[in-house]
Amino acid sequence: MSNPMLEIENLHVEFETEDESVQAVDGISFEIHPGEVYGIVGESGSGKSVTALSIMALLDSNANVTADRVRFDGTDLLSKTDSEMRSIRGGEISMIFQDPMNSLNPVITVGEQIAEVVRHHGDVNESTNLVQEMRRKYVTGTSADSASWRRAVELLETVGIPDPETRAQEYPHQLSGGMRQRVMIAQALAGDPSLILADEPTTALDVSIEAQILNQLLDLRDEFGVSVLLITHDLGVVRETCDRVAVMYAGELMEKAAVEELFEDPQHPYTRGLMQSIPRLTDDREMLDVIEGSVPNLAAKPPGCPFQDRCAWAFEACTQPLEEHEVDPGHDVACHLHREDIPEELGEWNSPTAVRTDGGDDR
Amino acid sequence: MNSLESEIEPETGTETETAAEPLLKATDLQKYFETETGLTERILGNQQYVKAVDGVDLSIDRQETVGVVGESGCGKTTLGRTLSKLYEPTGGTIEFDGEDITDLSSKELRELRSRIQVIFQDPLSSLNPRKTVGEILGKPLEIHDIATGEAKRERVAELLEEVGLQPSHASRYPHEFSGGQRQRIGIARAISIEPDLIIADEPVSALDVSVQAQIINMMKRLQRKYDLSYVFIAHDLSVVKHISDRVMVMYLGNIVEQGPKDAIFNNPQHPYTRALLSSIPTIDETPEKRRTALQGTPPSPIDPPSGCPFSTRCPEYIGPECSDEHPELETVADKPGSIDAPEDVPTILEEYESPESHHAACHWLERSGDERWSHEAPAIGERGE
Repeated sequence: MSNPMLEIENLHVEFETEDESVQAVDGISFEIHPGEVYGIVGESGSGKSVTALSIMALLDSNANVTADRVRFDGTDLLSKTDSEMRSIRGGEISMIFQDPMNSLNPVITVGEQIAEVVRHHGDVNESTNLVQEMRRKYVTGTSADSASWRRAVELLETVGIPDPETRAQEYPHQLSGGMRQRVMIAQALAGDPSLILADEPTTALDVSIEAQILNQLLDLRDEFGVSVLLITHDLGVVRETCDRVAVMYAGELMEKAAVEELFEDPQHPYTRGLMQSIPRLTDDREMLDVIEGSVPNLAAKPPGCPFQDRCAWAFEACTQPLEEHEVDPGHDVACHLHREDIPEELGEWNSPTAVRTDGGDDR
Repeated sequence: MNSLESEIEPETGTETETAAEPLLKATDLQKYFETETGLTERILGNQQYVKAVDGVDLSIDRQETVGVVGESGCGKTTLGRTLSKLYEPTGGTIEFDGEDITDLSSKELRELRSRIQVIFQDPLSSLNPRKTVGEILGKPLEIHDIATGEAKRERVAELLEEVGLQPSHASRYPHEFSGGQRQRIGIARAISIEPDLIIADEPVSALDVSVQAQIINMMKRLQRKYDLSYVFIAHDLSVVKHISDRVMVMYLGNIVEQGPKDAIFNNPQHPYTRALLSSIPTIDETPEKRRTALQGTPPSPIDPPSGCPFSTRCPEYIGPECSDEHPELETVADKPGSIDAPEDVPTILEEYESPESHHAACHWLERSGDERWSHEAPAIGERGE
């Protein structure tokens, strides 16, 4: 097996506030292989975006990031200095955010914004000193003959923007939401990355545009062999796009598996609950099955499994620290139900007919 | 157009109710917004309009849920706001419970508000941050003379329990609640005065899936308890399918297909509906890893295509008639183009037969199925304007 592109081991992210500390990410481990689309799926507040930001070292100074290992393509990212990280960010690792309107500069043309990344991370021989950049950005604009501009136009074409020469001279507000997201992808590609972190890249888009963008991401993976970490709350997007997936809950990874396996044979009560709470086109349920309750307060998580308060199958052992059980090769589940010594009456939990919800609504 | 209405009505009602009037009925409803235009242009009469809702006919029965789906910018939110009279319609009429409510005095409008309520997508921006939940829920009771003083407090406590919150939450402020809880407060406010119709605009889109399921189940339970009708506006087809009795598909200010939900989901006839259905990410089956993506983006509602609104993107474009002639909603059943879909046409269930009340607006309905299913549309760039 090839060396992983990204290896994360026991990653913790803690935010210090005035009177408490919040464990946003609590000891997660996973790795992404070259050319793989790896999904992290979870609800809001589960820590999935913080995970991506901590890999990029983009968190504020009140965040305390610790890990046994964060390795990218064999090199340790934790020991990098700020300036070393700056050359990796946007270069070998790039990121796509959910809301392109907030991440693109509104007063600079999109072509300019992409060309700048090309100059900093690509192999064009153009000066990147501050005065030059400011002049290009605010006074003259990048010359349409320069290599960086031509590359920017080329990238816009790669991501499927029609009439890229004209579009490159437009400002973000002149583009539609789908177009802006494509510009973000073009920008992410400008540094010729081997890993793209995509944080909810299609959440703000309509389904038809979402399909276009996800297809685009997969095409790029096929064409350039980049690895993608896809962060989303949408299980449908995961099933369609990812090769392997991790389910995140309250800062911890509850289940990791190949995509097919996760959907065909989920082994964690939380994963099952999530899947059953989604209305589907093919079902005729009168009422949806609901996970009762709400996520625990991350500043005061109960010891043991974070899902215990909402889990229909919780038992005494659930207050003990979680450990991962490998139920199948490549399929890890952090749940005490997979221990050898679970109480007899819980033995049926894994049968297909096992139901322990009242199917009621919300109380 | 008018001949259509009689066909739309007898729908979900039981035998005794079939003759009953629909709760709400809109005819040729239009809502245009003025674009920003310079003075000279205006004097020259070049004022442009965004045609957000462009001639919609619909009816909603008592205790019925009508889902409205479409992409952003299709006019579904404007439709909801016009139906609830938050916007003044530009043209057309709205009847509510047999009365014309198109033009109302502000006093009449206030009375109407006690019967039509609205739930918004973002509960935080629709709840006053400076008022406690008790004040937010108590105000409508006072305004509509339902309860004051102790009775009001009791009713507020009851309402909070009804939506799964604690009576003690009445003294808290909106920011102290999670997104799901805030939406519960929004719903409690809407049901507080026991309206007949609730227009819910993307009520669960901002919520996490597990919370979404809680809210949807709650809305279904409340509907039965309070005999509510819902207009449920959403972009998520799975959610709409789950909650609705009837579904309308909107595109560029027009309804392009409508009918009982079974008809829409088992026998979608409009190419846009089919495209939407096949572009939903699914967790049910092994996908082919690629969804069929609809090409392009919707045209501007300032200058919509003169023919079929979907003609600029349609994967089944026929020819000039699509660009030139605006198709009207027509009954799907027995139309030559609606039948004989070969098995490899995705989304259509072969043995399903559409009822009379299933309507679509597409030129294909009049053509033969053989021709339809073997047709290859010209590329988007090669279509006449």
